[in-house]
Amino acid sequence: MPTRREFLSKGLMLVTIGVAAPAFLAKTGRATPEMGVAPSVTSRGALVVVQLSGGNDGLNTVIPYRDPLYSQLRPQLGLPESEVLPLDDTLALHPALAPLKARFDAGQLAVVRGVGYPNPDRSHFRSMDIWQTADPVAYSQSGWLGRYLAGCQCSAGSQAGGVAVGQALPRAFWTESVFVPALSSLDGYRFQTDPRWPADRDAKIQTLQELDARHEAIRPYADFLGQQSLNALASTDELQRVAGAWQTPISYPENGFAQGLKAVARLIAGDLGARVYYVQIGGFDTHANQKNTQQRLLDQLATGLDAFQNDLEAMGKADQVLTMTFSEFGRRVHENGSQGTDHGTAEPMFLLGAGLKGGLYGTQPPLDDLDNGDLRYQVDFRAVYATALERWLGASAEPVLGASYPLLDFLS
Amino acid sequence: MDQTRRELAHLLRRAGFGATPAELDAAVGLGYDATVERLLHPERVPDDVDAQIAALDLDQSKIEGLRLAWLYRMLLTARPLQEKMVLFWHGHLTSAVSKVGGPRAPALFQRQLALFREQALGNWRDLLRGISRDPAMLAYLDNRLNRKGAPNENYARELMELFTLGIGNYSEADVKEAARAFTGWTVNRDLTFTVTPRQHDDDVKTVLGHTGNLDGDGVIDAILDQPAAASYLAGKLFRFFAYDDPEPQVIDRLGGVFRDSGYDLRTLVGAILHAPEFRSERAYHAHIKSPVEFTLGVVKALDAQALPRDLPAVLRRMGQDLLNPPSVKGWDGGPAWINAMTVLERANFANRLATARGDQSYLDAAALAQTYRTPDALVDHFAEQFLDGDLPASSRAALLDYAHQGGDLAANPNAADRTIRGLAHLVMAGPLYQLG
Repeated sequence: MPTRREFLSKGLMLVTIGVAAPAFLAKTGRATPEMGVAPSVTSRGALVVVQLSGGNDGLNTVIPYRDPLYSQLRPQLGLPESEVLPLDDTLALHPALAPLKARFDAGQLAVVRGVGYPNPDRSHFRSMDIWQTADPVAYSQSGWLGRYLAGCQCSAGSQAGGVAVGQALPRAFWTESVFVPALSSLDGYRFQTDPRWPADRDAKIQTLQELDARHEAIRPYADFLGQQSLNALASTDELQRVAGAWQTPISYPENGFAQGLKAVARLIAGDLGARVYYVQIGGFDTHANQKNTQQRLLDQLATGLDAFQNDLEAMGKADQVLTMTFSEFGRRVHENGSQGTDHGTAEPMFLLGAGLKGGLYGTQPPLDDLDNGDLRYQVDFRAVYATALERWLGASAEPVLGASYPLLDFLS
Repeated sequence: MDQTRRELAHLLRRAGFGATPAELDAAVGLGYDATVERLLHPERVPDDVDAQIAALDLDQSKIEGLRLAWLYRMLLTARPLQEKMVLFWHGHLTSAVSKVGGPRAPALFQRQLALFREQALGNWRDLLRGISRDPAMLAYLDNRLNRKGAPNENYARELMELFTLGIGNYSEADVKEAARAFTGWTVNRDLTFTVTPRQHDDDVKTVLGHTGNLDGDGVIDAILDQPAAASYLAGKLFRFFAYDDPEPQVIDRLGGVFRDSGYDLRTLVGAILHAPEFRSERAYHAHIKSPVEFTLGVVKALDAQALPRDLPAVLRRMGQDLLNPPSVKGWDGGPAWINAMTVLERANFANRLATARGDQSYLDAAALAQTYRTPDALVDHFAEQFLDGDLPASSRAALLDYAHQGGDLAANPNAADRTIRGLAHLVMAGPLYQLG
């Protein structure tokens, strides 16, 4: 049998074959009243989670530009006042984030300062797991978004409650009972058949579904493989239909991150009905030569998010989507000997959308009170998650996060 | 399929990339033990794969050409275990083109793969010394910038966390001190290894209880003195070859064998391939084939020697971008290979090879129609060719049902073409063929 870990990791539908097969084969792809699911009526729209992989240097992202300690501790990497984009008298954005500065001025960007958790872990893998499972203490297998989707019952059959853009399904979505497709491209997401016998396609799909559902195999992964294939076949046509509707007027940058957001925009425009989307942008592990790398990545982040928000405006949904960015940790305050920084702790998070209250939240970690060279966190990341869960998705946060957290005011 | 043949098919899937019908016949003729010995001693097996690859005229000065050349080597080599180990080392002691990039990257990765090939079944200490001096690795984990007075911890951390010991078997202090020991280990302008003395911290350090003026080799010695070192790698190799979640006593036993051999990799891998656990029902078809194993397995099962030119891109879409693993942890493997997207990629690759016609053809449908004249015979043939004959009754019924829809195979060449190619596609796209 697949281990519990494998079931959790792939969002398997744990229903017996006899019950599930007709639903899949009918290919309705939508939650129907007979399935006993009532879509949550209190959600204000979709949540888009943007993961910055590698540990983004928060101190050069949201910058205490007038603090004398900043330039003292970062003689080479520190950004001069003349280059940064002030948000107020003490904090400024990295110059590459100009599009986000414009959103801040328009009241559409919330900056939460000093986000982290107690006893921070500096391993990429452990810290990313902590952010995705919302559990810094135990080694939880399930993800916070998976637990949310399981609880809200907004996925049923092959209806996608969430969609991840990228190669692998992030642990944030891992759960027993929910199917979340991981897509690397919408256009490639279809079952291909023999070009000489195109009319044979349906017969092939039906046969493959039977192989998936009725293999009677006793091998450990056979059930898992069959289930994944059934889910994929059931959802391809639905996703193609949904994604085909919207022709965007916006020109997105030609990089993987922006194209991923473009795919999300298509699914939102086509009313897929998914509650959560997940996109990643990587490369932030700047141990060396940070200046150019971070500049390039923050530019991709800002221009991608800006194009996405413009697209949402064009389709009339700018206030129906909340985008949230995070990274697995910030970086050390002192620069290292390679014009870079090593793994650190607290960092800022951005929230973007026309439905939030822009401004500065949390507290900037002081540079004169470090924890062994690292910033002390001021806001627990689970409080940010709780705010999104309760005030945006309309869900109760405590069952998802295991405890209550004080909510922030970037959402009313 | 009889048990001996099945066992050898399993061995050649795990210790290599599968087998053509002729390769499987040859292995059955030799027997299990002799086949394992042949795999463990590549130096005794003549191999003209270099000449075969040269004849293909691939541009190995570009990364994509290098990837394709490596795939051909995996497909055509007479030394499959050696090449399977190269793939293992690439996923374990990771470097990636996305970080190492630049015009010299192909040459750097050629060199790294050559190191892995040379030490594939060699000595773990020697391999660690080699990879710590490897220019691509020095770039990937930034050790080329690790300097006295301002150490860069990246290599020291991943060396202990991921390559040799695992979390919990070293401390943050060990990482910091080990970083100091590796200072000054860098690359020249011509991208060869060098130690820059004035950048090297030659003060006393303590790493894992070893104190002295340690350099990188001193750190490696300290690591290999730890009891955890043998069982960490033994566990990783056992999971790679046999099955996940091994019993702790199996790993203890293999770790002991490894340590007692002085960290001889051939001894460890041999112990795994001869182990009753590796030969058990529990291990059989217990893996999910990686994209490389799936695609090369298809080509070998179809007895072909040509790869689609865009195979590296296909593998990328399946989640295995050779020379560019997604993180320093390599590829998670197992169920991580499978999601809705990659399921479709595998099915579509199977369709592509099953339905290719003309001079790109992998399947001679007309010839198969002559040999296997009924749907039953065809289904049996594909079950034997792809699934070790292991096809459950209900799956057989579904495939027969599909075959019967095509019309009379004997009378109608179109029906034969549609049905034979369709059956091959369905068997290769089905869940059981993903098992490795």
